[in-house]
Amino acid sequence: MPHDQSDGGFLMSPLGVRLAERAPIALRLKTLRGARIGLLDNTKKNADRLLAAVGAILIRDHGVAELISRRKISSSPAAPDEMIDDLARCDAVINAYGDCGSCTSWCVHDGVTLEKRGVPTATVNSDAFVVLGQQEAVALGVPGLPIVTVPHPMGDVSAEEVERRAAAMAAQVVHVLTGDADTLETEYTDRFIDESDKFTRSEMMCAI
Amino acid sequence: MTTMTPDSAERFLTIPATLDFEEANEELYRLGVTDGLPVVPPTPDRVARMLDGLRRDPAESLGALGPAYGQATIEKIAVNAVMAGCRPEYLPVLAAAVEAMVEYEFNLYGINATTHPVTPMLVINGPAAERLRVNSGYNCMGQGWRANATIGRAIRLILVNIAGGTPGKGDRATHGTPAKFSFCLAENELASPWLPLHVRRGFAPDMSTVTVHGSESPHEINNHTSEDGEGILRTFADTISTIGHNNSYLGRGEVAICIGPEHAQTIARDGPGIQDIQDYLFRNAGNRRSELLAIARDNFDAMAPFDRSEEDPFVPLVEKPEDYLLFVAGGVGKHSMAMPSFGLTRSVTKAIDLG
Repeated sequence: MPHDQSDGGFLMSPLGVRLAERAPIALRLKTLRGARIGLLDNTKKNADRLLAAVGAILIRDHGVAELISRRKISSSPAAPDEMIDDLARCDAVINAYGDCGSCTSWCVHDGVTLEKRGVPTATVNSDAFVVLGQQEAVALGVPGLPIVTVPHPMGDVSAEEVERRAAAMAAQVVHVLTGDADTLETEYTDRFIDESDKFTRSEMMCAI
Repeated sequence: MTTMTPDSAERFLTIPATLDFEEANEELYRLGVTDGLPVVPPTPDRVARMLDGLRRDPAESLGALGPAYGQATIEKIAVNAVMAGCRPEYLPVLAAAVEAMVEYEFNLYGINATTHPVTPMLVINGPAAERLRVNSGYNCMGQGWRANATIGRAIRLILVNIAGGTPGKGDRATHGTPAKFSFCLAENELASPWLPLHVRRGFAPDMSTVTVHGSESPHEINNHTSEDGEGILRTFADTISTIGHNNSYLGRGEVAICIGPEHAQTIARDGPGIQDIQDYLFRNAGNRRSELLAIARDNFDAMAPFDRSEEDPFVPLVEKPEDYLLFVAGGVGKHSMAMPSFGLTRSVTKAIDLG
């Protein structure tokens, strides 16, 4: 940088500095056949229908053995520890969904928690909020969090439309829950955001 | 305790301190670190003077602020305080407010990123109010007082710059609210017939505190006519029972009411205390199940407990009477103010260390 802290010749920065942490995503499953899949419903309108519909497709077309449903009391804040513990006993989790600011925040937070616990997770955001979701994944230290998208908005669409969107989303879910984690992480890092979207301008990067 | 040792690129911008006011402000605005109004350029000298207001290590972090999870060090808080136009003696209030906002139950991560028009309302109690000249009387939620205006403004700048709450990025508020520029006042303890908020929360009367509440913009409650407290309270309950705010949507959270001193005297004249008011509001503010169903609102499992055996039960706005956050402020006049909240947030009170 063209200055040092002793010369007093520059304005001071009001920007926050983040502790540098970075965690990989969980290892993925070899196959969904015979798997127990957790469904984390954050109570947003139609999240229950979307998860049920995707779960049914995974059973029908991909040999999933069992679905374990858990519903948060509300979309914000985080899923309670006992719920995370229950879901961590599943082979993989589908986590739906973020379609607003606070629910995206905590949906991504739950996804990051599960990935750090070693549970491959398909975290779902609406396409209007996936940029925020990925910014938050970066801020939470899991920049490669695989985020599956659904069209925005989800709250005012019919049950039939939710079924259609679930069918369209199922392939993405299968893709992010299986295969090679490193490849997936590379694929999802910066997938939805560019430099101008990031919270961390250069002044905010922590050198620690 | 987390202590940050940021390097110079993290402590300084690349904007020369020698630029004149207008040029510096152009650069700061371009960087996106202001609230849109001109700011006081944060030169090292000004930040050093600000830090004199609080005897704490500038590198000490009070916690990480979401959604960007930037560390709120005392120095970073001071830089934002300079920009907002604060006096150094306000810095302890900002530190206490940040300590309150990082408590999990306040849910800053949700509040800063949400589409809802929420902002932290700061209510100051105890000797700090008078010492720092925080307005608790006429126009205490409006313009005209340096402490109210700049403390609230500094909180917003902290949420933008440390926490990443840039509009349309980390802050996804659909509309926001004018209260996001600044929302800070003191309780008018002298005009209150009841114990002050901080004493009811377990602090000594001679301690100073700040309470943060994840608040909507204030909404007027006018009652110029009732001769008894029942009429005033009925007006409170009716005003906050509208179906469109987040407490109604979620059936939980806290609702704050700033009771005007004249309303407070009318209510207290008949004997009711704070708990009586809370009980009244719990019983009388809410909506019928049928009214909620009429707008397809059916998340009853998550809502406050209510009697499901009734044909069309009354669903309260909040989970329990104590969820009504009551305090007294304002000048002469027959008005109070209602502040529904973000809902998924609890107010937090912290002591202010005036040194």
